[in-house]
Amino acid sequence: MKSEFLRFVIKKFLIMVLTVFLISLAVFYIITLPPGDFLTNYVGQLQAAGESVSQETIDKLKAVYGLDQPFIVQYWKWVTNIVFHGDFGYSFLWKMPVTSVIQAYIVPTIVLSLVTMLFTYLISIPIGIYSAVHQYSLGDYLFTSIGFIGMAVPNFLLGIILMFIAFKLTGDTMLGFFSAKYQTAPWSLEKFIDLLKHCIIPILVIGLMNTCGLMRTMRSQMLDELSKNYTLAARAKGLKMRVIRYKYCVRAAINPIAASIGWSLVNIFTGTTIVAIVLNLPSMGRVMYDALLDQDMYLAGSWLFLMAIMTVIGTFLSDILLAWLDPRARKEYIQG
Amino acid sequence: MMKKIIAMMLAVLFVCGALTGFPKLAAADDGIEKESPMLAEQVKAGTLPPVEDRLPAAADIMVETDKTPDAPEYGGTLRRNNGGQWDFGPFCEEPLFRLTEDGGVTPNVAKGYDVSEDGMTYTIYLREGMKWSDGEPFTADDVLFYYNYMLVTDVDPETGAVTNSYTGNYYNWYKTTDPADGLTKPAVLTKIDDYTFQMKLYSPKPLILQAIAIDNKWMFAPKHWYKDIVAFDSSKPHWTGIEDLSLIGGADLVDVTEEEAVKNAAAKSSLYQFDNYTSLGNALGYLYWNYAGRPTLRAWNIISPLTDTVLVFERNPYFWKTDAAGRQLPYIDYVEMVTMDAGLYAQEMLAGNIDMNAIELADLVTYKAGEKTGNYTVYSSIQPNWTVSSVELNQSYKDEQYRKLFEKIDFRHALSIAVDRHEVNEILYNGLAEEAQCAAPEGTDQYREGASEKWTEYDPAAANALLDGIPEISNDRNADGFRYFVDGEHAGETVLIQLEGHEKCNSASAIALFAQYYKEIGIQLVEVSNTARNTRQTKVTSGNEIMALYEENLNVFNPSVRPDRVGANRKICTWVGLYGLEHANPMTPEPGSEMEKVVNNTKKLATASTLEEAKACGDEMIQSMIDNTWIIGYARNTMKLTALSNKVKNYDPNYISCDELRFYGNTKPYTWYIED
Repeated sequence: MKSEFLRFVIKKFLIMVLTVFLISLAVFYIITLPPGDFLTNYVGQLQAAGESVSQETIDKLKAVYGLDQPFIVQYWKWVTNIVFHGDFGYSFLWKMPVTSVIQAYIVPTIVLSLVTMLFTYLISIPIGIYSAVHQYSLGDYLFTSIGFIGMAVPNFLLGIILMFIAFKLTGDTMLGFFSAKYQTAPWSLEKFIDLLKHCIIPILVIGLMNTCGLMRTMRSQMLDELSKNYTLAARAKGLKMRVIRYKYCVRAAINPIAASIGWSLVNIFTGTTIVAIVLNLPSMGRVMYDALLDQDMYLAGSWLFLMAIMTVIGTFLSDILLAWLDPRARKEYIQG
Repeated sequence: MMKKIIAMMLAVLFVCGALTGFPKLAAADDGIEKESPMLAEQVKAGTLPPVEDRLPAAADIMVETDKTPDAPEYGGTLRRNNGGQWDFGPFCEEPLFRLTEDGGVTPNVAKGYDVSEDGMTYTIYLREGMKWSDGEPFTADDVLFYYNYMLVTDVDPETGAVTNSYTGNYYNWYKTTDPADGLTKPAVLTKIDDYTFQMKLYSPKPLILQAIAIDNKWMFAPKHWYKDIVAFDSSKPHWTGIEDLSLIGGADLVDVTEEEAVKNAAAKSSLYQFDNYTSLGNALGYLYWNYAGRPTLRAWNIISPLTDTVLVFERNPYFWKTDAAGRQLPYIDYVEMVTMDAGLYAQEMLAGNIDMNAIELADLVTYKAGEKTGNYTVYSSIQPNWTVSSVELNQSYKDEQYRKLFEKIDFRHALSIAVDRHEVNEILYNGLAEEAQCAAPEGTDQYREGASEKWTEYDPAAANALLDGIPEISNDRNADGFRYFVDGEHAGETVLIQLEGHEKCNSASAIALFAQYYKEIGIQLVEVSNTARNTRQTKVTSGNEIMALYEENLNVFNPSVRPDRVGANRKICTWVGLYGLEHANPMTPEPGSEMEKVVNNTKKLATASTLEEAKACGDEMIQSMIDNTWIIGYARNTMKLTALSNKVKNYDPNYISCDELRFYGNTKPYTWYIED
């Protein structure tokens, strides 16, 4: 049984590697798809700023960046550098290695994402359970209404509304992660408190957009489980309602949520782009947006690639988590 | 008694003295702060030399007499919008010569200059004792090293073409052609002494200092900082042929290969990680003001990596200018450039989180309404705007039938009077723009009476009559209500103008509006590729790929100094298209055509050897713009708008804002101060 499980993990892992390879090819193809390239754009910016750039200079730069080479050569160069040197290439826009740009933004992005994710699960799962257990109660209706509103209102709009409320209440719009006073100041307790204050709106906005969906999923799953025969049997045998609910039903109801962790991981990273722009958060979303507009191909490509890898890893983890959580799934996976 | 009298007399003397002056003399030393407290502290701590030692020799200090406020305060941080490198670069640019609003030049980093009688030799004087922001002396060697080893690395002896440049951006106007031998050669720079250098041209060029002031304002670089990151090969003769390297700033250089240069740069700072020599040169050599650690002569220098969302600029302790009272400038310690989505600045101004923002005409009402709440004022300055909403038809468009149509002046005339400028103004600019043709505004040297009013009267009937007179297109309309081509390749097809928009301006709403007016005269107008920045750029610079361009904010300072938008030179000029001389194979205009005049004028201006000649070329270009309406202008905005916090003092909005004058740089931000 144990070796079978290991075989299952290895099989999944190999599929994952193959998927990542195919994705890398697709990602690189997509980035090089639009006509023109970064240089044309860069030269355009220089010219718009009144500078004149000679054709020789452009040709030279093209050769330097390998933009005059065929697709497959460019791809090979890119992918081998990543695999063997951890080098994701050079960002033309920032004029620095892609890894440096990503490093500068990855920490705030990850912190924001993890905190939001935690917030999402901590809020939605208990509420989902509560709503299911107290179906059609006042609390259930209240949460359901909030849930639907949360799902229907675009989150960037919610961001703007909360920003307006914050401005009316405090005289500050609470944009970004820090107030003007603390933005460039060294770390201190006041700065940390300032950070926490500025986190309220982003967490609410980004968190709510996933919370509502998860809440509804949890509620319906829970309702399903509560009406199943095993619940009835357990009740008939005189097991306490609390034990039935939390030891058996929740465990079964949480499966779809565990299965979707892979996607929500990425969703939280990429789904925040517009919110990050509206709330002026130094997250990767906005950098990615600019990189795409400016065809900063290695930066855009690396980020897309990382996202894809994360989805794949997330799916891989969900599969294993699910197999571990649910004996039925495990059996199905291993035998089928 | 005697004692008392003496004491009394002394007391009276003392009081008189106090009233008339001698204690004031004492106060000249300790009454007025001569430097920022931030720097005074460093001097006290022994980490910085005293201010007298940091400034140039007394006679060579640049004194900002006109810009001295009554009671300035040192310190504070100015937080403003981040408009990108071409915004914060010029904001604290210190050029060798500064272009003046009347088109002349005034010394800045340079102290002065002489020109030889033949107009070929310029002797330029620098300021003695002036220092880079790291405290190293600034001398003629820094100019010579920049020009001879960074700007002009290799020259083709046959053609005079610059074949290599560390900065990647040589300025061709340094090359002049001698009509006597027909040869073209770049200017040669040599050293006279530490504070004097000479520039020898191959042939006279009266506007060379203007050209330097506009394009090569950074005509110097800290040699001590660059010499290990600029490749140098002692075995190779220098392009000038000068063997005494001390004359051209190369005497003490040691050999550095390109690979070593990249490695040396990487070792200097984690911010200088370049993947090859070309990108190193382009970044540190050309776009140097983006990089923390590079010594400059500017009032403030960047100290943050470019990836930060707030870019911090710190005062230069060695800045070489003072006010009339001898206080070292700037007054403000830090400038912060805050990056955020353009739409958010308004709220941040209201909340008092930023002090300054450059605003668009369309946003004026919003900002004006928030003045009281945000405790700021919206100021208006002048920009030499010719048009803020216009259509340029490519006179060299690849499709012959359309090109022939665009060449017809009646066609452009019709498109001009088919639009109700008043309505456009009300809808797009809240009625705040001028309802004018594309032409120089009043008050500038380029202003010509009647030019702004030409073909601006809304008259669709007359426009239709004009189009009826063009035999190539139909008088009747097809099923869709448009005119069509009567013969040729496009016979039976709708006359359709594809207008290239721009994602960063309000082109979409403007084009939608124009399309309705054009439909009234049977011409279809559509907007193309509004989002892909570089597709647009590629099409524009290719010369003949783009059919028509929607142009916003066309500023023209002085055509004889910089004919970019009114002459046949630049690739970015859509109406000129492939006729532009910057193209590798420019199109030859038809003999006797209006375009031929434009091309000839552009060529003549490039080789003009007297100021009068240059001015005459510029004047003819302006007249050609008026006679031909090459650019059809529907609105004009000469207001450069700035929202500025009321705590920022000594900002004088009476200035001209344009690239040539370095935008805000023209108001000398280092003379602003912040009141607590």
